[in-house]
Amino acid sequence: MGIKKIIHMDMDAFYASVEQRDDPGLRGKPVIVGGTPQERGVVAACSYEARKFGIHSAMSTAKAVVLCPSVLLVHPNFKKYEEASSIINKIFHEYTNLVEPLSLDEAYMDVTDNFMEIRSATAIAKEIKEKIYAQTRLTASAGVSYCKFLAKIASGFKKPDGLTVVTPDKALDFIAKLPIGSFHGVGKVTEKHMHELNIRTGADLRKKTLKELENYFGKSGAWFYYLARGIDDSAVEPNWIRKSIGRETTLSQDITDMTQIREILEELCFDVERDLKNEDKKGRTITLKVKYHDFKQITRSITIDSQVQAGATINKFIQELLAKTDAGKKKIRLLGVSMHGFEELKGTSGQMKLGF
Amino acid sequence: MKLKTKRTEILDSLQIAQYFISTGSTLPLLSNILFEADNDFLYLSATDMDISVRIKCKVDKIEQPGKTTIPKKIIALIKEFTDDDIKIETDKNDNTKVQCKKASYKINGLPAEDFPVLQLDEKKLESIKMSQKLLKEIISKIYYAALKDTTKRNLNGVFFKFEGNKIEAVATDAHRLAYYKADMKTGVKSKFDYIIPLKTINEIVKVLSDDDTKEIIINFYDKVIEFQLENMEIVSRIIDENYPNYNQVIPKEFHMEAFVNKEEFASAIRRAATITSDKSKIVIIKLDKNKLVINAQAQDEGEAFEEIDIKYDGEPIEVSYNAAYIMDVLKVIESDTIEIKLISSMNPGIIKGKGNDDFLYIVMPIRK
Repeated sequence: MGIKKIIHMDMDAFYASVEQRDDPGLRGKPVIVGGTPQERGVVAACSYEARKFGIHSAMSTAKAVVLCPSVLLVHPNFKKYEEASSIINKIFHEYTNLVEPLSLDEAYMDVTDNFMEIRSATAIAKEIKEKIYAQTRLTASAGVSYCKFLAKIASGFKKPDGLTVVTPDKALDFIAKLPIGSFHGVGKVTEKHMHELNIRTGADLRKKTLKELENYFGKSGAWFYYLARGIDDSAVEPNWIRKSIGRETTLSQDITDMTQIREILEELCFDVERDLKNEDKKGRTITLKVKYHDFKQITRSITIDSQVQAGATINKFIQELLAKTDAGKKKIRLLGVSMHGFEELKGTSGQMKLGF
Repeated sequence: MKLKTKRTEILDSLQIAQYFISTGSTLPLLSNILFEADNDFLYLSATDMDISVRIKCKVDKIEQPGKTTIPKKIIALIKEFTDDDIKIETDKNDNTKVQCKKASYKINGLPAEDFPVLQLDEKKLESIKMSQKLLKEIISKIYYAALKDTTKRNLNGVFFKFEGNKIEAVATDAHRLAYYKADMKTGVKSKFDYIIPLKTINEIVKVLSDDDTKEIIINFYDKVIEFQLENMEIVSRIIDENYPNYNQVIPKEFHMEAFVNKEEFASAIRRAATITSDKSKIVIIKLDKNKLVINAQAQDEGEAFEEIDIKYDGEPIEVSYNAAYIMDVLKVIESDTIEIKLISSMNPGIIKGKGNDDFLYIVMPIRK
């Protein structure tokens, strides 16, 4: 096996760009796509002009309007985004079937062996960007590297309309300078933990031994250890199998009443059970998502030893996780329950595919 | 619009329309049925924007032509009426009164003008007339093999190719592939190939007749396809993608060939499958001199052993398959004897009815 060639393509301010493309009146202006402040909407996407005011996605539109009173609010039009997304996806598939979409506007591609037999992944990324623009009038930023981790970080390097390549010989220098928060798998909580250990950059991370990291972070320790050394073997996985199943609900009124919170969570757990049964899956990781009235969102997860599917069992762990939140003290506007860590389906693992 | 109808007359048409109503649409209008009455007939239309239907419905009397859209709850309502005579009357605000005996209901509708119609391209490319029974036969033999989700859009449909008076149809989920070819009485001048969404296929198969004398007209357009039946028209978008080159995965030469009684094989597989775990329905099939052995094992759950007499004089071979894929095809093969053709335990195998080359089923093994 030689070195892999991975591209991460990320559309620039996707929803907002689609809206600006379709309405000349929005071009060059701060635009946000999302629900209205009255319906307690959040920013699903914002144009680069809006970002200058400090607006970012997932912020409440109410706050965005305060930051920039002249901001133009557009209701999301998912049919349009899906259309653009499917055109883009088609372009990706002209090169390879190893496409792993992360959302409508973002995907990994493994172009090591591609249909066009082009050797340079950079050349492919350039071609794809050109084709995307020609067919959708939208720009994308590309990251090219030998692994998913670096390709993804590279795509965010020069936005918009960027193309950043991280070659294996530059990888270690590149990683050394990265802030620890940008490492795959480092969320807010882990980031804080890292900071406490004086790990602020990739270089700091590399100074720790495997043993130390495993002590601090359990199983993820090894992952961080290897990432710091530019080793990421994770494969680009086309989305055959759903990786998580979850349900969430935005409450019509912010609540602090614990009985009510527990009841809603219990109901969500049973909804998740139904979805799991429909897909014949059992999971090992249970995640609770809580969004407070101030839009601050946290997740708390637990990974257990056995596979579970039953709503009552999920609920038991969710209630434990609930104790690790500020529920009851802070008003809550959204609750979510999800499951990950599905056992690989034995029946499909060895199932061979037709060689189209 | 004002009309009188027999409950049964309109209910049949409404229930067909119901198949086509969009589920979970954000557009309220798409949950409605379009009613259009001219002097002779009532036409009912429903759509989810990918597929639409227009049904011609004979009613007792149209007292006043007109049109409106009515929410789908009218179907449930009419179903529950016990008397056969129903009156439907719509006012200028699209509120519809439905009366039956002494019961009277008002359902608030929406204007017909806004109801979306699936646009037929300006130019019809060509048409073909074929037997409904044949189309139903083709679809029923293969459509279960299509990919059920949209992870690969081009596989989430059934592929049709019309050339001269030949029709070829294929469905695959990349693990198995079902292929059917047939001759039609009439043909097309040019060549057409379409991937028709599985959703459309699922609806079409419900309305096709088994009567050999009934025909269907298929109209080919660039981006849509239209099916005309006696009393309804169905328009569907096509999946505008390339279909995989299926010919290259249909093996032409084999090393082993066995003849097996279909019923014996099917019931043995069904029994063995009960032992397999829910997720991995792995059955191991062994061919040896004039016998076929089926083994299945589920860890800590049990084991299955079946042996049946067959006609086979090739090399011994052992191949693992997903039992569900085998059961699927055995349900649709009509011949009493099936042929199993294999190359090796790692190559695609073929299952088909003996002496019938029009229908082929190609299935990939499970790697050991």
